[in-house]
Amino acid sequence: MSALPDLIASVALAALALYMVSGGADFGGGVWDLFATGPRRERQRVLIETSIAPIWEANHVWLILVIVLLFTAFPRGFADILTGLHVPLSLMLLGIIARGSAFVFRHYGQYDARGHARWGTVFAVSSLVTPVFLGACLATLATGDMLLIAGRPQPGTLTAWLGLLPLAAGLFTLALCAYLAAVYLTVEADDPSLKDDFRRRALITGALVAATAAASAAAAHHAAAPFAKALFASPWSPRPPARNRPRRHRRPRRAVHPPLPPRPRPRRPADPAHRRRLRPRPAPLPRPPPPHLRRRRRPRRHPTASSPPPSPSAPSSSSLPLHHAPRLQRRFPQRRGRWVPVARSSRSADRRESS
Amino acid sequence: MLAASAADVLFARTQMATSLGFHIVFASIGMAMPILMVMAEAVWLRTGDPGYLDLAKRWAKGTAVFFAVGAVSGTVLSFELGLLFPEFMARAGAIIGMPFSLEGFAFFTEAIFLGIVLYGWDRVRPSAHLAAGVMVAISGTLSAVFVTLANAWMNTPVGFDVDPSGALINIDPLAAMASPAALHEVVHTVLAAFMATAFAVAAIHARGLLRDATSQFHRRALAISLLLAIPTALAQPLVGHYAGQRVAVLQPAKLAAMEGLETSQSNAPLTLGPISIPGALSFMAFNDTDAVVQGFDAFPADERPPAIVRPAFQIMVGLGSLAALYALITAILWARRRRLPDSRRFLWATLLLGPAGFIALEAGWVVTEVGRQPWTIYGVLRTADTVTPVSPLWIPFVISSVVYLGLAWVVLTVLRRQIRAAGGDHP
Ligand code: HDD
Ligand code: HEM
Ligand code: HEM
Repeated sequence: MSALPDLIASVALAALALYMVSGGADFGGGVWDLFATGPRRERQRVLIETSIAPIWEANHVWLILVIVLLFTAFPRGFADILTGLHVPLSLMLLGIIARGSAFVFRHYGQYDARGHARWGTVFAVSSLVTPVFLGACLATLATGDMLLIAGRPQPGTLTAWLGLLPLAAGLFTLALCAYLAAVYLTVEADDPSLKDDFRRRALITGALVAATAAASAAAAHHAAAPFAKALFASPWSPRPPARNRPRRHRRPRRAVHPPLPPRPRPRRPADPAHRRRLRPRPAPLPRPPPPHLRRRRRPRRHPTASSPPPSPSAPSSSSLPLHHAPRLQRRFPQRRGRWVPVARSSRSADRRESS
Repeated sequence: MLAASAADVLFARTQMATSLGFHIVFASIGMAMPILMVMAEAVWLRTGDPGYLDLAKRWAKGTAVFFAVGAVSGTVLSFELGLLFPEFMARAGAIIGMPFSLEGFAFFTEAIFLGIVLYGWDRVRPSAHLAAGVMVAISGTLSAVFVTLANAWMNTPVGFDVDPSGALINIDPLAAMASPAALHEVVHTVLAAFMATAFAVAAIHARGLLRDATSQFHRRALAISLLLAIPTALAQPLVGHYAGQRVAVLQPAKLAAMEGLETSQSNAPLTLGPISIPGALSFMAFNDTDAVVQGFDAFPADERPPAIVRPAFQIMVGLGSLAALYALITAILWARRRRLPDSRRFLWATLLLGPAGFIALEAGWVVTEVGRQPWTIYGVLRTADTVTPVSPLWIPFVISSVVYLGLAWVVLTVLRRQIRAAGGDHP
């Protein structure tokens, strides 16, 4: 039953990744335009401008694909995401408009040097800001701090993006864009000294990517525990270095994230400590969110034939203040597992247990 | 259902209208310029006159500007649908997702071939280059067709059931794309894009000829653009008349708003200012002077579209008729003398009619979209119920209006510079 949604979500994810490596690199180009320095600063700018011709505004097609897939396959989720992220998404869009048009005008406007430089500044600054909002929006989804009931945002939802994790992830995204662009430009440049300029930039931003990634992971442990847990429990993910070498050397073996299990039984954690943590939970039902998350995280309501949404006149659940939340949960028990990040982590836990 | 305040609803609607009204200009130009390019290139291939090659190249370069701004504004639109009208997307997303996905493919094809057209002048054979241009024109038009199908569905929704909670179920996306308004909206919209762009381009080059009557560059460009402007302008009123007849059947409240008809009556008159022709409206709408045309009194007060529909309709029909008249006279003059008319009076007429196509196009969309009110999905979902609960919406409205005004101004400036550069070094 869940194969098709998973498939569509994977395609959306792939499209998002493609947007990052194509469109993201365009943003990175703008970043390097802003930070063009040294004796070859003008030549760097020219290389950037010729490498991203305006036609590559077409790279937005990947972002559009994500949007279209989301609203086609998950219309209610799309509506709720765009309501909850109204502010940061609007800011990101402003950035996309400013960037795209500034680039076109600079390229085709036949402006004099001053006009050219002015559009260049708009282009560069908006290239810097837009990826930050993009990353922040995605990370906000992972925090699970957004809650909408029947399409109405609950307190805290509209400001959920103003957190540490979104900030860290935004900077991470920015670093990624800059890194990608520096690598591409290294390849693109003909002249060895220009190549060197960008190689150096690629190395520096490579380090920044690692640093911001670590910062995002650390922030995720606080702000998005279920997400972080699912992330690091995945056999694909590297364990965060900090967790591998716990400061308390007394208990080196009791890492929170156990070493990869042996091949034949990949899903069962070998470490008893870990198992003890997961065991007590009943397997069939997705478990409720961890206590410190419980107040805010609640499954979104999906209007379906079996559970009609409250009619306009009926006292709607949306008017309930937040502290009535537990009751709400009881009212829609069958939906409990729907909320994505929690469901993911609990599902993987269940699988682990039952295998 | 979602209690967005009346003011917020108004801001959301106006912001959507501004963004769409902005996008449609660039989208139309993006659709029609490739056709003009291909025509110029074909003339070059047949006659070997390098002036036409030069023209095609210049138009191609201009098209890139519009393509990029069109892509950016379109990207913004697809977010705005969800940012401003989430409940609409929550209900209808699965249905309009189909045409929008197809639009994505069409756009992708267009981008690839546009790349060949822009950067392939010296890299591919001339015939292959021409073929790439044709592909750009076809796929650009297809993207408009698909989006318009989505809009036609909003006006005449089919292909689903409504469950008691108001959710749309049993969705058949293909049936939804073949909605009753699909045919007339698609044909009328595509023609409108071609016609509006052709008139605007013709006006630009007529102005060039008024300044320098000997410019071969402007003469060639004027001839090509008129070759597109004349047939589309002649066809558009006929298609529009057909559209009106369909609206009379499918959306009678919209027809009442277009005509400002207060009371239902048979032998309904066509009224324009002081003139009133009895039975003409009944005849125009139903081919029968005795047919009953429904007026506002046939609809509850909260189901009547706003009054702006009527002036918008009159602007569209007035400008469309004027343009058709101009097209007819030009065609006759051109055929008689076997030579492009170039009297100053003719050039002035061309210049003055330049904006007419785009004004009619925007007015037509006002008729269609405002005439659909108070519904977003006609008869199914009210606009007021779809607006986002995020508030206050005047902030995004003001910001987006300022941005779009600024963009429009800059685009015009860039265009002026390009044209000046083109006219200057090309006697
Ligand atoms: C160049 C532009 C242009 C011109 C000259 C005309 N139209 Fe138009 N009209 C449009 C551009 C347009 C449009 C912007 O493209 C619309 C909006 C939606 C659509 O399908 O086409 C439209 C809609 C539209 C509708 C509403 C269709 C609907 O809501 O389903 C009607 C009844 C007409 N038109 C009728 C006419 C008539 C009788 C014209 C006679 C001269 C005319 N139009 C000229
Ligand atoms: C709600 C309305 C609309 C939305 C959401 C929308 C969306 C888009 C998007 C996202 C793009 C950019 C494609 C990309 O970058 O992937 C685009 C481009 C385009 N759209 Fe729209 N569009 C809308 C209305 C229209 C209408 C009414 C037409 C035509 C009648 C149209 C015709 C085009 C064309 C031709 C392009 C190609 C860009 C160009 O050649 O300049 N669009 N649209
Ligand atoms: C590009 C040409 C178009 C123009 C100029 C245009 C114009 C407008 C206008 C003036 C409104 C405001 C109506 C009002 O609230 O009084 C509107 C609303 C809207 N249009 Fe269009 N429209 C266009 C095409 C489309 C298409 C192709 C779609 C299809 C998805 C669409 C979807 C909407 C939606 C969702 C609203 C808001 C809800 C509503 O007011 O009913 N429009 N449009």
